[in-house]
Amino acid sequence: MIKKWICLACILCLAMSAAACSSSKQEPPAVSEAETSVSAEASEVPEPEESALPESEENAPPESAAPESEEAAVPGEEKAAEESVKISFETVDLEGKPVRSEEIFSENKITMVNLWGTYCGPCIREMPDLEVLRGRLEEKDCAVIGVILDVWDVNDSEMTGYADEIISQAGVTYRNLIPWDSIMEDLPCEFIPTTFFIDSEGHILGEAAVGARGADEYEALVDALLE
Amino acid sequence: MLYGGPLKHFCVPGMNCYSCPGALGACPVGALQNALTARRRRFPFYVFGYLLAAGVIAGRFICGWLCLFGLVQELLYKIPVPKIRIPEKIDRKLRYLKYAVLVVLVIGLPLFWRSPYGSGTPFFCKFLCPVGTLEGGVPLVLLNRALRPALGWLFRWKMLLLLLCVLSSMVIYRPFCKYICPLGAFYSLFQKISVVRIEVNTDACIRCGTCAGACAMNVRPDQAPNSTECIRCGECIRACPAGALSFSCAGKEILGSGKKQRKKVTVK
Amino acid sequence: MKEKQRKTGTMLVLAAALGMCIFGAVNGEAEEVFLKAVKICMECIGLG
Repeated sequence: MIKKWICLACILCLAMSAAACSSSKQEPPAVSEAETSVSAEASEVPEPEESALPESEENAPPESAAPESEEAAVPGEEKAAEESVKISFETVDLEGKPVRSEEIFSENKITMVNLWGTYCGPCIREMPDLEVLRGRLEEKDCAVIGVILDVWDVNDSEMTGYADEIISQAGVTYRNLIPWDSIMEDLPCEFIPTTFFIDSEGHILGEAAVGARGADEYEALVDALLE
Repeated sequence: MLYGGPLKHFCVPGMNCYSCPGALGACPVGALQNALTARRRRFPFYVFGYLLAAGVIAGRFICGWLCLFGLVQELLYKIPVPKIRIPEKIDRKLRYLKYAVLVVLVIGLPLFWRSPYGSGTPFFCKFLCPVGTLEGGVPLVLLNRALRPALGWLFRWKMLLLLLCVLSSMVIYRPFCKYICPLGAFYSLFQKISVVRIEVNTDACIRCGTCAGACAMNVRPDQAPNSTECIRCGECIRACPAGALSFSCAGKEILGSGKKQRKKVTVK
Repeated sequence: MKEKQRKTGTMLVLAAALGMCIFGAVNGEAEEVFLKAVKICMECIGLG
């Protein structure tokens, strides 16, 4: 009896895993993050700046998925050319001031967008490093901004209060934004902290940095992209 | 790579790391830890209610039949290497360890130990859970190159724990379930009042002890059928020569051994 | 344990459990579970 059940359980697990993997490609883009992350990676391959990064060769496998994921693109997401993913959004910052992505990106050669949450220890621990980095990047015409993934409503004083506490305690002076509707598709990530590198036109450059890093590591990544 | 759809509003009943590429639901222990480490200390009604419901409906039947990591341990035990027999005295004391894991690492520390920034740390998930390392950590590191620079001492520690767990599962039956698993510890509290239970027909029982011999969790089903250590695998039911044991659901017998029960006449 | 007492205990706990679940879900706790299961903190999975 046990053997039969074990076999059945194995088959169920395999079926569930297969269902999880395949369903993420069939579901509409709004729900599937896997698809958009594939499209984001794949679209960066042809960009000339990518040749400086050793990782660019590895982006080849997802390339074949690029055509279908582009057709399935979320309406709000603009695509400049087939080359790269360009993002554009409107949101508010933690003080409630409206922000347009074009305003921020156009001022800097590279903008680092750091996705974090008040529930995420490593995100908070790397924030002092990001503040140090902000100072260093200013000289290079680059900037750091944060997006707080669990503060959905700027009128929620409890959550904005937590975010404010963390920000002041970490000594952070860069801007922090409230997530916008299409953020899951624009900046797909499965783990936080994740940091995206955006150029002055809003294109996502290179690979996002996943996990907490030190200021030096981030600076090296930015330097590599600036070449 | 990970499923990010609406099913992750719900927890699965067994240990199942939500960072596993195959996971469709959230891990109940992970969800509980996350609720307890929130900045505002609130009673986690949703997650706790779910755990309570699962426990009072099935108890450790979930451990025996619905937990993937339990299955992994069972498969590892099938590898033909010499098995270790832990002396009963030590074994019985060690079984209490999982309650300490539950109270200290899953509930206590996450709730009360705060970092200087005021955030809690999910101690069990972060420092101990081998399930997350096996189902999430290993596949992710293999499949997702972007994660590799983030790995450090913590990952090496978790891999060591996973290795210990895998090796000990080959020589001891379900060591994680017996000694460490906080979810099993929680569900075990509801064994006696759960809807799905094991029943002993005392009239039919011939007290031969075959069931105890068949039990890999060292339970005596004829004396303590709904013990906190029983994972309700049903081996005792299958082994009983008198057909005295059966599963019951809300008092009704279901899934008996199919053997004809000897009706013993008790003279009072 | 008497059969009737046990059954009452079971029903009470089950009712409490379902009540808590619904209460928590209405309070947005299910959304929190979802967020932390799809935007996973690296610490929670032992990857630092």
